[in-house]
Amino acid sequence: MSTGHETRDFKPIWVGAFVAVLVYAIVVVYMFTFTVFSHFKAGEVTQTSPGLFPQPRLQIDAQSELVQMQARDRERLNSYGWIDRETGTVRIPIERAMDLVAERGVNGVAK
Amino acid sequence: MLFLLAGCRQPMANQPKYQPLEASSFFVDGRSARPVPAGTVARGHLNEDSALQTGKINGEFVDTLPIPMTRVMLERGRQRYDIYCSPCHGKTGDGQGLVVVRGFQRGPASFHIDRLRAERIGYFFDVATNGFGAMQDYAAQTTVEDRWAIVAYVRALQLSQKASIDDVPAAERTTLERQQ
Repeated sequence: MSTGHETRDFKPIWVGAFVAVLVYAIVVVYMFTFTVFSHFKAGEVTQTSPGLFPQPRLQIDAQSELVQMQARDRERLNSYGWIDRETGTVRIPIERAMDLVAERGVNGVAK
Repeated sequence: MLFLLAGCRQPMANQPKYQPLEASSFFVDGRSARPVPAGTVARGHLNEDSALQTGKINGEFVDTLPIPMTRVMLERGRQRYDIYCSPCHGKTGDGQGLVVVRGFQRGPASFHIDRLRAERIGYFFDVATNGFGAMQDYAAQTTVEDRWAIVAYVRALQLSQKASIDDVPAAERTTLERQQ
């Protein structure tokens, strides 16, 4: 019995042909895809950077924004402070203002 | 058998009643929904006190509260204001509520501008009752008394953010004087 690979049913030429077609197909598909991508890239709208969106932007930390806002309001509604020293205009706590309005009526607000 | 049962109708299934807004052959105008008879007022809808109900007398805004001013009423006004008004007007009334800060374009004016400081109290009541610009009316959410309490509280807000040095108690005044 002779040794060596089987020659009767198997033809190496077909394997070679398959590999050739495969490589050819890969190259063609790659080039096609590249062409399509570069075609769409030309018409692509450049995206705005997130930093350039108009206010208000996405809330990164909603909780701390709320805390800040409440703290600011609390400060303005619960403390004495100067608004204009020249004219003697001041900010007074809301409790004090409510006492005064209760006393003087709704027209007791300085015009 | 079930199909036969479904065919049975009791006499009560046919009731001599009108569906809402159904046409009528009984009334001359063909409407089953009857208009309110002239000169009648639905219960709870009597608006005999113009100043109280609309904030106006003969089309002019009132400049006094039509209900007695009390500290308790102001407290109630503060509570209602914080619930219904502060989301847009802000807790301090500066027009920078959360809704506005987060991008609402047609936000309200500050209560602390000269025009609104000089405005009569009836004006605020009218806006709360009928809405203004982008603001809806709050007649359904608040009672008449609550709306007066709210506008009285708005006056307190206006005073608190722009008061005279004479409104400051003596003890606080010395502290203020020392401030830079």
